[in-house]
Amino acid sequence: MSAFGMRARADMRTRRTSLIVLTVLTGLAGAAAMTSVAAARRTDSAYDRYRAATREPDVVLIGCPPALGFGAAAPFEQAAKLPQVASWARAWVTPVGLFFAADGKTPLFYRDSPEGSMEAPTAPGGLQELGSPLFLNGRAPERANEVAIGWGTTDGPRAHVGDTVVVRLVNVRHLDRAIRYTGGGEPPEGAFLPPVRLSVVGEYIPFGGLSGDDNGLVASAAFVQTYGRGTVSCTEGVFHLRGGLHDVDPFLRGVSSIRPGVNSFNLSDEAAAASGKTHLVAIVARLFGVLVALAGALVLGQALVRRIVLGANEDPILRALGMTRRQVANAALIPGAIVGIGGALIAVIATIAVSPLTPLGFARFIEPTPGIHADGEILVIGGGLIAAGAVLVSWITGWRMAGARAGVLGTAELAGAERPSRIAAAFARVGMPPTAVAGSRLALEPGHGRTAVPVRSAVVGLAIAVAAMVGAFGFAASAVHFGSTPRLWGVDFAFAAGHPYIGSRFEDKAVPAVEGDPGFDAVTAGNFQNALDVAGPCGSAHVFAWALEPLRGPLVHTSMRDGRWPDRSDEVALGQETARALGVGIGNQVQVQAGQTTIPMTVVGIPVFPDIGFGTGLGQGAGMTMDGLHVFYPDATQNLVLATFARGADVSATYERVNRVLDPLGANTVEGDVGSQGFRVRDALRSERLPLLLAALFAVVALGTLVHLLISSVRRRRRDLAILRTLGFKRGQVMWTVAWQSATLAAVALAIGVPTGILLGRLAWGLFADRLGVIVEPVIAWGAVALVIPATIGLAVVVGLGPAIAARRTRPAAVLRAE
Amino acid sequence: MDPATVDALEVEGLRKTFDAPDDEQIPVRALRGLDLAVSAGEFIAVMGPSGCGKSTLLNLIAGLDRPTAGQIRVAGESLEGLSEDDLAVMRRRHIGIVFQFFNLLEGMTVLENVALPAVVAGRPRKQAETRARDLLDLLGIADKSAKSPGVLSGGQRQRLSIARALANVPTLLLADEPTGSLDSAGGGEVLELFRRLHADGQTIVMVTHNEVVAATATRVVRMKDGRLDDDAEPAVAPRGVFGVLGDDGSS
Repeated sequence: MSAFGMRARADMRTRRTSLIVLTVLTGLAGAAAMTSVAAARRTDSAYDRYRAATREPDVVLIGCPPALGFGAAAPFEQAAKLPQVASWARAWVTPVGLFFAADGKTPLFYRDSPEGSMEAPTAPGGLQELGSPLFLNGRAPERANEVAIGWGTTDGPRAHVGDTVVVRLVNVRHLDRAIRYTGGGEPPEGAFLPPVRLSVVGEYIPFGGLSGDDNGLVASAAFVQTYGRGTVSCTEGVFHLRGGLHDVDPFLRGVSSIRPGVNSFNLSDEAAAASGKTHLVAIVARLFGVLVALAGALVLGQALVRRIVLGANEDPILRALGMTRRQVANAALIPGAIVGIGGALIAVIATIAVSPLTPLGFARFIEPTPGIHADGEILVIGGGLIAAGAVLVSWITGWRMAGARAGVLGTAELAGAERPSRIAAAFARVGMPPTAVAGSRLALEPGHGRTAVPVRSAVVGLAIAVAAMVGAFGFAASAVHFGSTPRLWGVDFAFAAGHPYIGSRFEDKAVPAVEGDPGFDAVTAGNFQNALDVAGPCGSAHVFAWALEPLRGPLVHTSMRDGRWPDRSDEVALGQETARALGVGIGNQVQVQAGQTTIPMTVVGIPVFPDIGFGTGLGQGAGMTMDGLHVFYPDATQNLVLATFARGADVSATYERVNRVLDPLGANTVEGDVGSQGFRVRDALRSERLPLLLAALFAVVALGTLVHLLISSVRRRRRDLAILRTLGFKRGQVMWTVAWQSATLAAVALAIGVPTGILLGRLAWGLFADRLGVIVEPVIAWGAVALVIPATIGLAVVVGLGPAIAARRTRPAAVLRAE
Repeated sequence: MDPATVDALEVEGLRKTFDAPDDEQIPVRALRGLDLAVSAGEFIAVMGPSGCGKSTLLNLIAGLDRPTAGQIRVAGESLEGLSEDDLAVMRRRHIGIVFQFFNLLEGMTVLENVALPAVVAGRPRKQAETRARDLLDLLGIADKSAKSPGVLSGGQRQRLSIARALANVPTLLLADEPTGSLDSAGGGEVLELFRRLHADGQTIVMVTHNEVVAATATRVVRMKDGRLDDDAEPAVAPRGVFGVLGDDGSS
């Protein structure tokens, strides 16, 4: 065995427990950070992987009999020859029908209506021809009397695998009666075929079903053959495009040029909704992981440094015995390697073990391959960083300590050993009790020889934990402030109403009703339905555009982070995330494209787009004038209206008046209060819990550091305490000395940690809000700060009780004899 | 150069100045041009009052510190210009140190403490342990080899320290107040050991402020204010002194 090995054995023999604890803590902190980042990646990629795994189509064209009034007959064969098409298949769909639970009376999907739809593959390949929808339970139907039920967001009576459902298809002979039926009461005589009882064999997510209500059933081709005669049905052309969703617009324009007025739906809305839901959670998880990694590295790094410094007091002896500085420093690699490699292994194993709990939130629902997941990149990089970090920290500390000069006792002298504490000196000058003076000296002076304690690293470790705790509270306070301030998430108006799918009816009826209402003083109309491709020097983005034009009073627009809302047709405002992705800012030019039209536009502002349930919103999107939008979409109509109330207006009376017009249109209204948050803001506010969790974690770490410091200090400073006893200190005074030591450490850590934490909290919220694309307005959690200061000192004293009692029991004669 | 004609230690014009402490203006001149030659097999005591530079001299000879000026040659090899690593190698080959406060490695067993210098010097572990056992046997603490140094008495700890210093058969055994931390019995044991080692041909340079301890040596040099004060034979006979040592090592 080499000298290196002998040193390692001695090290393990004397301080095995602390090494094991440090290794496990490093592993757990590493696992927390790696799991968060891996979860963020798995969450962020869930929708793309879901689409790839399910082979979800990009566009569906719907061709129905003219009598149903569902648009023009779809030219499937000609559309299939368009250059964007990669593959396509046909499906049978009945857009109307009655659907009940097993009793034949309770509506299946909605509380007050038995309406719904049903589809079935008609291509020879069955459902696989269309794609591979994700089955949450059970399997795809194969027989005529089998059916799978689609997942929807509506809270209606539902059926599950093993249940029976009752279906009544439309009778083609009395189609007119079926069309007139609105779902209430008994259906007209003969309008529907006799009921068919079907077994539910699976639950699945319908294509396009992630963006909202899409309740329906999927049956087998055998069902169509057995029960499809005598009913009315449509044909769906399910298209996969070469360029995916990017090809949707040119493909639909191609279809429109073949035959205008064809009914279709595409998956862009679903993609926007899904990415909105998953992206934010991913940002929070990633931020959490980075914070845990940073805090863990700082706190545990300090603990490792302390351990190596404590173990290095014999370094000058080793050098006197002929070991070179490098050999002595290499000995410090042993604990570093054990902590690093052991910690990395624990972190990797724990990260894989908890991976079935990821991805997070909505992404977990659509995860195509749930269960154990090993993110090789994160495991290798994270594990490598833990191992390399610990080894590097150990070696640098070991090298530094190997060069430390020997004191009169032959052991290493720690930095600062020769300088008495100014605080302790000040205590003595102002006549503080001897316990305070002695306690503060023990806290702030490292001491000499084998009884030395690395005070600086302990204070730094504690200060980091306090700073992280205060920072986490600050982050949470900023999140609460954000949640209660609509202006920060884009709602800088008192009232909004809109509907993207009712065409000109909104412009004809809703807009004039709001414009003419005396309760409003400024009214702006616009369109928020159309998507644009925007390209900058660093990339391109497919975003929804908000186009606005003032009708009465000044322009009402969404909140601006920076700059102004466009007032010319060649100007555009971009959300923060979009601008960042493109690599542009105010004053830069971007290329904006829709279909065949591409024009350069100048970025004049960075707005925040309210999350109103359509498109993505917040930091993603483009803002422009209606004239600007008409360059790309000449037929775009007003489907949005924003307004501010007139001074002294009766708000509820105003709502009542405009709602008389808006309600029958099914328009969504948004009031400029906390109720207008939208799911992305609500998701962001859930992040408030994470910092509180972090604060609790760091509070535990701070306490752990303090306890460790006090125990090791009291143990190593037994001789100093014994000398105090010989100088006349009573046992109670020894206890008070340790209490003062504890309180002094806490006070110094607070003095450094609180201001640093306030800055950290503001910085962390700033980064988070900036990533989100909302207005950055961090606040300071004064209440938490006021609580943290006395609580930390109080807790420090309480935590110091154990070591203080141990110190009280010190028998000076025994200690001094042994020393 | 014939090893037989080479002095074990030659020191010429040795100077060492320490930077002024923070609160003082004047640098500390610990050594001010010291000359000394120690022949192979000699047992020399360096005497002087506290602060006269005795320990500084020992640290410089051991290569644990660097002189401000002057030459040191150990077994004919100059220490001038040697790197830190070269000095470490020099210590392995030529130097064994006995400290006043023992400076044992508390995490290692008695046997490991003695074997470590030989292992550091590159000897196989088995061979190093065999040599360590022999030394522990020679010094009368073989039965403690598996124990921790913490359980030994002061005299036993210093004997262990001496065994460790002898592990690599050093050219020079440097001892810094070897009896300073021991009672009279412990001090007597250590000095008797030194006498036996000297009789076996070991070159020893011992620093002490105690006349009676110094009397064990065959030559005594005195230091005052960083220089040799004189160079004289010991005033007290080297034999039979242990019985008259007081608890504090004084007669």
